[in-house]
Amino acid sequence: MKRLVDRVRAAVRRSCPPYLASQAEDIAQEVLIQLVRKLQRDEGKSNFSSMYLLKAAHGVTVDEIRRRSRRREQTGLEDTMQVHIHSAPDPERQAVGRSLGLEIRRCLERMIASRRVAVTLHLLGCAVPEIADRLQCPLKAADNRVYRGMKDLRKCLEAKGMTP
Amino acid sequence: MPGGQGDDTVTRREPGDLARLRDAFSAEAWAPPGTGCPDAEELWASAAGELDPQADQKILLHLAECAQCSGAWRLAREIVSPGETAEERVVRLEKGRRSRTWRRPAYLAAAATLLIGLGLGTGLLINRRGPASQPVYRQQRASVNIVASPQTQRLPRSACRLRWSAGPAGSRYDLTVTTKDLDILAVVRGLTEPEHLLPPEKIPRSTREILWRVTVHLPGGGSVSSKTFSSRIVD
Repeated sequence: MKRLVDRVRAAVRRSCPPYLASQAEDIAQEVLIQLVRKLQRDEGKSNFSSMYLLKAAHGVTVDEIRRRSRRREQTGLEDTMQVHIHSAPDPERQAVGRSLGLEIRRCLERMIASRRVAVTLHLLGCAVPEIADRLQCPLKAADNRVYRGMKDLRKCLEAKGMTP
Repeated sequence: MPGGQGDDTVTRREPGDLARLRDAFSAEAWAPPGTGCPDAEELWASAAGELDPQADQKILLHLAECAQCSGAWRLAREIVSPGETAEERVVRLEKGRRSRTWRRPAYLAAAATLLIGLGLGTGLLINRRGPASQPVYRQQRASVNIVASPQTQRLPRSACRLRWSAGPAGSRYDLTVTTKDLDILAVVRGLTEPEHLLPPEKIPRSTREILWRVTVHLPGGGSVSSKTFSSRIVD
């Protein structure tokens, strides 16, 4: 059990974004509860792989992000940001980044679906070969969608007075 | 019409704002809760390339609208394949797709094989110039593996200089340093050199070990995160 606890803590450490670091122990506890329930269901026969633990840690982390966001919506308190603000070098830059993020999404809404998906993947850090593979289209088509989509996006942001 | 191929040409045309656009797009910490969000398991499956294209497309369209799910998707992708190159990722995704395809009814597989065979045969008859050369992408060549400098295993509190292997020329680095209990000591972004001196006042007296992680932002776009390194602090 001690080994499982250590492995869960390590998995949570990997899946937890910096602004949730102070909740890491709670998240680890929640993952452990889930694992114990699964062990009970399977009468102790479960053997948890590292990937399974990471997946469980990711699931609980996502639930926590959503829970905090809902709480913030209801109360207006920005507790989610506390840790991040303390450790961030430039809050003003982050505020600009936040509104830029919203405007990017508004611009994406106007884009045709195929370009929107390609640009979304590009903004999520995917390279063109991966985008082509995910969308099951030729490399050139993926390249074209990203290129034109990014051009549209910049034009749209400029029209809104946002220069990234 | 874009003339080139792959990420190479896209990033060559990109102005230098891509990193900022990417940061802003995934700034999920401040995002309002989305509506109709897929559950975490679906996001994980999409990031790992385990979904069929139709289901994946649905998730990806949702990511375009929802900052929170984008952050969760990106997190899952980083966990599933940390430090994986673009080429390795494509190979893994294709492998997953192939294994799913074989679960379909046998007649579909047989029909597909027949069609591929016919296509190949026709292609060989029409084009006798031999196989086309494969394009090479700059980002695929740059296989970045970040390792900590061996000197960082033990560091004096008064000169706690974290060093790691350099990425390609022009790379920028983000560094996060925490205690063993995951209390954040420092978050530094946009470093131009693969090292950072952690001021002694940032390290609590009781801290004997620190954990740190580096994300390299490649000059041609994309980023690679290191595994978490650990350093002992000595007085």
